[in-house]
Amino acid sequence: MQDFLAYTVLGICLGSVYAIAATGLVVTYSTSGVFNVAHGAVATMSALVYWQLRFGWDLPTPLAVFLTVCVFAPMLGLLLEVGVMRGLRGTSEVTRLVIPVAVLLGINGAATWIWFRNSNRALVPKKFFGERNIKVLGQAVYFHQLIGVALAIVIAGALYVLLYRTRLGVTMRATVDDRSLLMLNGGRPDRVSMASWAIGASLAGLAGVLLSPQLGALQVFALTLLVFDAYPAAVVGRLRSVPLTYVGAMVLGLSKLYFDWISDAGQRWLVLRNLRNAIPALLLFGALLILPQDRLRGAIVTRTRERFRVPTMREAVLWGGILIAAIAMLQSLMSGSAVISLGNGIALSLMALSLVLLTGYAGEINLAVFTFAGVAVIAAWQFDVGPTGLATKESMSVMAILMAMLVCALVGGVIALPALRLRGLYLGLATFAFGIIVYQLVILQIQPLHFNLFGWHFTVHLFSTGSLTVPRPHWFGIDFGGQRAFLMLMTVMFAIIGVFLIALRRSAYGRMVVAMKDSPAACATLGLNIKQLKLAVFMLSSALAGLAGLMWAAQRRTLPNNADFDGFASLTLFMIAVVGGIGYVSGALVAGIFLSVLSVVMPNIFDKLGRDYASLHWLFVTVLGNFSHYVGPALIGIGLGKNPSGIAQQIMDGFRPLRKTPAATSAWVMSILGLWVLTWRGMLSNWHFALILFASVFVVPRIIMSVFESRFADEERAVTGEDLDLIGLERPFRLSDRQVLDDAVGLQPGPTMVPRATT
Amino acid sequence: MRHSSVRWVAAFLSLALVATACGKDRTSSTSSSAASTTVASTPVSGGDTTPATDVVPAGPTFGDAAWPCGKGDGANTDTGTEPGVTKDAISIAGGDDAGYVGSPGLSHEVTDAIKAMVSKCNDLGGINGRTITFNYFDAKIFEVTTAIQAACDQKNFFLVGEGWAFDGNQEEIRLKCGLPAVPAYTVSAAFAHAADVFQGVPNPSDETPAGVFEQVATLFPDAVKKVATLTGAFSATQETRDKLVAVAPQFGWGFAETTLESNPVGEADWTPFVKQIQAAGATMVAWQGTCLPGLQLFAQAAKANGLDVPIVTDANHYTAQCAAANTDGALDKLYIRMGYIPFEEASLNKATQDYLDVIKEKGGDTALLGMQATSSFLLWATASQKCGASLTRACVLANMKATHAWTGHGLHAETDPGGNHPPKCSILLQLVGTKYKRIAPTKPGTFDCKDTWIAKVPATAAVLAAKLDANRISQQFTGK
Repeated sequence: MQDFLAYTVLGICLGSVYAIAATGLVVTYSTSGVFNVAHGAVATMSALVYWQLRFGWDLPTPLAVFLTVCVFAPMLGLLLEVGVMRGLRGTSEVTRLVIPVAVLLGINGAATWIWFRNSNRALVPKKFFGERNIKVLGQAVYFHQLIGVALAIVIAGALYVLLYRTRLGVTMRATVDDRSLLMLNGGRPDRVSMASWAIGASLAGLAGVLLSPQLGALQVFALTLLVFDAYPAAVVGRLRSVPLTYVGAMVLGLSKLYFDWISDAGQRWLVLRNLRNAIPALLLFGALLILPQDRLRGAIVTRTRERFRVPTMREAVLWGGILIAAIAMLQSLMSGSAVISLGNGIALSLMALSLVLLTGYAGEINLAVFTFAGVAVIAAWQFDVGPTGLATKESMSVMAILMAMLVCALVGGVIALPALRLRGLYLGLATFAFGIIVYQLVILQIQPLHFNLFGWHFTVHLFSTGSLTVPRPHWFGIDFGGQRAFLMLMTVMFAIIGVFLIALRRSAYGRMVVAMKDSPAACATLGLNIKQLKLAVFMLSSALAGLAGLMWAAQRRTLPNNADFDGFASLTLFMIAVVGGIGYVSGALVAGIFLSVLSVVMPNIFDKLGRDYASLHWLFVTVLGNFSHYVGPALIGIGLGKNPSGIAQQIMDGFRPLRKTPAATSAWVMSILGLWVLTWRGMLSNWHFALILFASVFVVPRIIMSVFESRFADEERAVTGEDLDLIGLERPFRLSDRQVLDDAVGLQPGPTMVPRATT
Repeated sequence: MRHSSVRWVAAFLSLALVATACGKDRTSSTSSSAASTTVASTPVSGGDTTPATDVVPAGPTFGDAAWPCGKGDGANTDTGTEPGVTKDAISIAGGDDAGYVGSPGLSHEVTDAIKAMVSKCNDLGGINGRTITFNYFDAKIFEVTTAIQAACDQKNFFLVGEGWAFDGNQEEIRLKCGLPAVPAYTVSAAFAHAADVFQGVPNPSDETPAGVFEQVATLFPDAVKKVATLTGAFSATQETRDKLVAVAPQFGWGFAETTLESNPVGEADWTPFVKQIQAAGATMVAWQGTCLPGLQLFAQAAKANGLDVPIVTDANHYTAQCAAANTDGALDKLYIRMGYIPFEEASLNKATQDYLDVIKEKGGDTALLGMQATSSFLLWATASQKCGASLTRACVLANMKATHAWTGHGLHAETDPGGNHPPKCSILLQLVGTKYKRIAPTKPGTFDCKDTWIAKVPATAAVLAAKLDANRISQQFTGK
């Protein structure tokens, strides 16, 4: 009984801090419709600011808390609302999920840059009233924890009153329900949004200040993850109810502590030892499946700014061939380490392809792509191990790949089945939770699992040494063990899968998938079996993710179990895939290369420039290198708000003029080939070739544009931002608009339209 | 972005490895040692194949021996076939994980040390007149394959003083391009047991220094009979725990709990672990993790809940930050095993002082890992210098293989780089307030040593994966 009381007291203390974090999330979502994934990052940044004020500059505690929670955090919230979130109106749910992810990465990158860039500093915040504690029901509790309990109660009460009893609160909720109606009634939704973001950020800041001393020396991602743990509480509150969120937080805190109690801090059942770390994810997954959810905004047909053109099969095959040829030619010039970087990029592109099918075509979200990679590796591994649990084969077998794809498809089906009724954000959160659960319970499991099914004994080997060495294929007499050969194998696979996806998209099946994305209700009305379709797409996408994951693991060769499976890598890949253009195969390619190049290669290039030009070291290394290293990917993600259809489309749009000028295009391609030959023969340096190639990609289409400006004027206007919906309303409809509109909706060119004479 | 658990893991990996480094037995014995201890500033004697140990050094010295650097006799040859070597220059590669976003600056002290030593060596004339060029590669923790391939592409002579946490990832490429290594530390069994890898302070997977177990048993003969282990849930730390549980009973240890594991990403409340240890009646805690934030929070929770037992841990807890954070005294019963003369005793040990002076002169940060890198650099430079005018990889490797007694010019206890054996000596420190205090042996500048303090470790999964042959050489990536 004494233990029960003690663990109850501790659970309430922990639950209280979760409550503060989760209610902040609810305030933001229920008043702006944006699930602020960056909530944890705001908490982390605030905790660091508090440390700086209180312990770095020795300000009195009350003043430091006031400046952090009531000045800094609300300002950060306002900045986010005005600078980023306001631009999300009219975008899809995917974009509204991705941009907060980018903000999260950006804030954490900035925090690292500011406080930890040059050394492993230990910033140790102390608890309010230090280590002073008091016995509550026989359990020692710090004063600091009691303050958290009191604040959680006060804040829950105050927020309830604010949202349901004050004019501001009613206006806040009205903003989300119907913004236009509110404006018609004289409301000022922009101001209300700003207020809600300020309050939400302030609560995140308070959670950061309260949690950070409990986590000890500040670590950027640890604190962010701890705030992540509070998300299930917000989901229990259906992202809008403050009292239910408070209850959810208490359930979460008590569950964690009660499990510690009954499991002897995790060691009673060794196979389930990491279950204690997966409890928030389990609760999140369970809450999403069991609790009735509100109708999601954006789940109905909405007019969004994202538009994806579908290439013809001829284009798809042509571009696939061009990709293979281009990579083959490029790699012949590249150094070994550059080939590895490019290989890493292509491997990530392959993984992003599974998202093109699932998210780009079907509109579903999977935030656990790397989890499928882990599952695929474990599945394939079973074919390459002997009785000792160690690798016995030096080549990846086709059977292992097929088995990995099959297992991933089944696992994908297992998640999709209960999640069939979930969409958008909730599905994203469910897959994220699933990823964490698999990471904690399977991927971090070192001991092999022994099973006995109806007398059939078998053993499943997991990451038995903490890391696995994944063999590369040796097929058709070709050894793909070398970096260059494996790069080409992955490129060919990318081209084949890409063409397959485009063929799928162009088929009747593909049109059904896209229809499901546009309007599930309409599809169901027309007799489509939405559940079956959703399940099939999820399974196919999971199988592709498994195949790609296996290739990615083989590219890495030695794969530690703690490196990429904890959820963040999947979030980042998802973000970059959306940035690249989630509706395009080329978007996946751009995404993978970006991810590999931007955060790894660019800083290296700046380092080299800094060494070569020592007087400009501050510019190349201190400013540009650090910038690209810490906040580059995040800023690109945030920039997505301006062009929700992705970078690939922007790039391809840049090349559109080339299609109309075959002579100029041929001349350009021939000159590039000529330069490649010169470089290959050693008459031109790689640096110069890369610079000329890079510059020509941007400059040549513009030159062609300027030469043929009048010819492309109409089209250019259409592709560079004119709202297609407004053609014919804002200006008269022209014949040339037809091609633009056909392209936009993916129709084949039809017969020339002859305007009918008006009578 | 990969971050959270890895940041913690990387910090542990790169720091915990200094735990293996100990000192050489040289003169009089201390109470608990059957072998001998010594004041490090005295000349090294006997059984040492390294140069400058048998004679009083002439010219500039580092520690207790002459710098292996100088102008040479000008008779250098250049075959044109030896990668990274010309008549008057040597290119070596090295690096760390300093560019890792999750923990910027990770292991940068390793590179600080190598850069400083290379610069100082060049000031003295280089290796037999050959100027050393150091090429730096930042593996950013996950980009090890890119880093090693770049080092290979550049045709470097050796990989010297490198400290990449995920070094297992590099092995296939490194072996294929034939780049030998003298790393600051090793993590994977495959790298630690490669045929062309030698370390100043070896860290083989099949052996462990065990002196600390006897030192602690001498200090707490009753408390060691009921020890609880508390381990960060990560394979490297679990392996450290498994070695402890396998080896420590030989020295009188018994265990109450051996499977308590904490979340490496962070624990919001450490009280459940404290309660579990109390319920098991444990009288001592063996901790595998990091000082900040984990251990400090655990110790504070222990204090608040009335658990007052000694905590024994590794050398990665010997840091200025760990000491500075102990203002409330919660960590006052922390006992740390050390393989180096602590910085506080630099005035008694010329090598330690020389290391601090070189870093101060050339710029950079100091750390135990930096000393370990310094020892590896000296091992490589010494072996290279002995090759004279004709410098080849084969010659340097042969010289290192023949080195069976090495102290890094007095930086640490004697090791056997050629035989890939860790040291058999140990120092036990205690954290008292914000200062580290020497507990055993009590005489400053000395170590406790015993021949039995190198313990064989039962084959773990990691060792099996490395496929060690009869000579303890890994065949995992050799295709055999």
